[in-house]
Amino acid sequence: MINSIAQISIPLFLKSLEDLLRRPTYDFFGDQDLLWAEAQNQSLEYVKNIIPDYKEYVERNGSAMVFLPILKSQIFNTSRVAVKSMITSSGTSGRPTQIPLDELSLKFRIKIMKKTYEAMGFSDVFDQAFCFLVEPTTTSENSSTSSVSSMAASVVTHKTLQTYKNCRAIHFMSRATAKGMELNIEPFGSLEKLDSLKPILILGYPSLIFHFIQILRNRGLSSLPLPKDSAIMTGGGWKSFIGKVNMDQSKFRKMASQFFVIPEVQIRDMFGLSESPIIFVQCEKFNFHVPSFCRASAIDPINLKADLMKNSQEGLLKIEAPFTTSFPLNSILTTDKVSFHIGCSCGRKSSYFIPLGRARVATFETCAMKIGQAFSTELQPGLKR
Amino acid sequence: MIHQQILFELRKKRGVWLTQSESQHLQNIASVKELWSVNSPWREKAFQLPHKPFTKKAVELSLDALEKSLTLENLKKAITQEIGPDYLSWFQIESERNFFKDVPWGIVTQILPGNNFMTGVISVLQCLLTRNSVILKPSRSDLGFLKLFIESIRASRGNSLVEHIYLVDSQEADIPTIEFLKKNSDALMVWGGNEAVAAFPQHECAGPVIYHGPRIGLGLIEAEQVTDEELAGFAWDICLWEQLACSSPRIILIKDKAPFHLSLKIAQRLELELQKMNAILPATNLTLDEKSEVLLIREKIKWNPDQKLMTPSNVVTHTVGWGSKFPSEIPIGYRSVLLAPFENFEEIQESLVKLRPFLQSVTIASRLPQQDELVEKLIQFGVHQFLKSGNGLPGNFSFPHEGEFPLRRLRRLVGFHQEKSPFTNSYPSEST
Repeated sequence: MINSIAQISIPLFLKSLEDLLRRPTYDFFGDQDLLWAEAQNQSLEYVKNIIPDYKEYVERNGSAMVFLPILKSQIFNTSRVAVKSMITSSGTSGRPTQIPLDELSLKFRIKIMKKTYEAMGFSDVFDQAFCFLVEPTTTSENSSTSSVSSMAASVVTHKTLQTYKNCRAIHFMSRATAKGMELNIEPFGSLEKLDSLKPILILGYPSLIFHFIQILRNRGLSSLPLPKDSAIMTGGGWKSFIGKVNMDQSKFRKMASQFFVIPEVQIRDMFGLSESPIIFVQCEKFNFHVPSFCRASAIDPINLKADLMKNSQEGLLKIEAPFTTSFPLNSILTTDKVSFHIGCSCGRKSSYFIPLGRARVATFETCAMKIGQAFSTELQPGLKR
Repeated sequence: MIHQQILFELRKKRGVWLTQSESQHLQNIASVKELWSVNSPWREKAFQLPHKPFTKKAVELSLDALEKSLTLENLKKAITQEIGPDYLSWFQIESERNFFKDVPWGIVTQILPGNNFMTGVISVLQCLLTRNSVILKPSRSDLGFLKLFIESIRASRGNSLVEHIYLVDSQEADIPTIEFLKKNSDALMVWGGNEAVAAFPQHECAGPVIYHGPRIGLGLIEAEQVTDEELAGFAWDICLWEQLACSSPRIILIKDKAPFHLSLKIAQRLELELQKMNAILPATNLTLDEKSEVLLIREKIKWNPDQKLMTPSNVVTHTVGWGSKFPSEIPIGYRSVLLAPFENFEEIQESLVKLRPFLQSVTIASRLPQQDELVEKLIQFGVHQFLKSGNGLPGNFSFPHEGEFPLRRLRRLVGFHQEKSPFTNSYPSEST
């Protein structure tokens, strides 16, 4: 890791990041949150220094924000980044984005996931974890984008669960093959022989969990009661459900609650992006609260202002978080449509958002719509090394 | 769902139609004109239809153009100009004994695009004018103009024309219907982007497929001569069709001896003209999806060190970008345009080669005559239309589209052989 960068005291920067994570996760520290602002500024300076193309962009345009679709076409010189792990998005909305993470960025992603889980009531109590995610080792071999990259959700979840002292085993229920993602039912045996006293965690893509339940039902199992305090945490892929089954979150919760015989409140969804270190976990009222160590807002894509927040109007989700030091992800504007609200009955003070789907970035019904893509031959997305 | 009986009915009615005199036929079509005059109830109905993203002014001007094209004189002119005076009659080429005749294809299926509310109306008229029965499959985003226009034909004195039209209902526009149309139409005309065109490969269709695939428009400015009026014309062309037509100038090339200096100023001037144009053709309120698309265009410009965003961030009505060279990507979004200078044609040649399969029109703001060397070069690179800036409204049928007069694509030529036979060594007329 680089120990000093012009205008940044690395120890102070790291301390500010740690301090942010020490605060109560869902308290509101006001619009003038100096600790957060200082950490964000330091982080921005750090990334600008390590990625010269980004620095040049920020200085030319006076804006540090990155609109995520830009990452698919923009080439960054990351030769100064000590890459610890290369992660990718799932690629559900096109070509997957590759994100290089240095040791610090990876470490903070793990800390943030752990802290968020705990703040939502899921601490280190699980005996085993069954991850309906692609096994990280198989994505490395089969990724179409890079031989050394893995899906972000798999990598970070795996490493986070590894820090749980009480968790005896982490099973991955899916693997990447040359033909695509397939369900791996080998760990099924462990699930049948559960210790009835120790809770387990089921986590991952709801479509895979649903598929798994169907397999068990086809084998004649009408329910599989889980030990008390077990939890299910879903994430991503509500639109790309297997077999195009019409399944929304509340239906899934009901169905999973009946099958695994756990209360619905123990089934929560997560909202995250490979480009963001922040993971949003639903509260007991199934709302996504904004943690105090980041900023999130609904942005009008034309004037880039957060005016839409006032009346809970729909805007694009912007996430500002100072925890990535290896790629320009401190201030990202996503294509996720959200509306923001306050006053959740769960009692948490921070605002929460409701996801409203993804913006279609090619909306114009024009006969020339695809020409832009056909013509674009100069930019080859990826990382310049 | 459409079935053989409907096609049978359409075919049955063709016989009488084809024997009807040309003058009676044209009068029938022209009788629709009076229904579309200014302040007519049909116009009022048209204004009440949703027309987003187009302005009311664009609808009004399109209806003016429609009314104008429906005069008997203009209908006659279109068919004579494009196909000749002998449509449906046998003719001979001088000094030859063989006979030829232009005839309609028969039943033509039109797969219509969603980018322009008038395309369906124009397609019906072109088919009727050439006496092709027409099956219309509107786009999912059709705004309702087509249905309204067909109703107006039914209400006109030429109401028998509706016997030759079948409008596919949105609910029946499913895969079996499309497959039926592929296999049973005498010809298909497919409008749209790559996906639409790819869905109708020739080998899957019984009749010939006439493609109106993805096309694009450019602009051309001579830096030292361009006037504010001509730039206002560009602003008009950009706003009128909201950059959704194949005549829309999405990249404007500036021929300039000192590229950076003058071309940047021209981009600034166009930016101001677009701001002014908003008073005449007010911008629509964009949806979040549409705004996101505009944002992506703006961000791509901002990230490109060779480009500059000329539109202030508080201006939401349009987007103007300037680049020091021909851009590698074409901005496709609401009222978005990129300007780029060039000194010599050779500089842009390579980019034009890549665009060649898609090039349709070039909008010009210059004193260039049609004989100019630059015009000739652009023709060599595949351009089909040249329009002076401010002329982006099609006023009549007879303007080339994809390299051909539109009515010509709706007729086929048949021949009657009359040469001397080597077998009998006599002309057919002599052998009896």
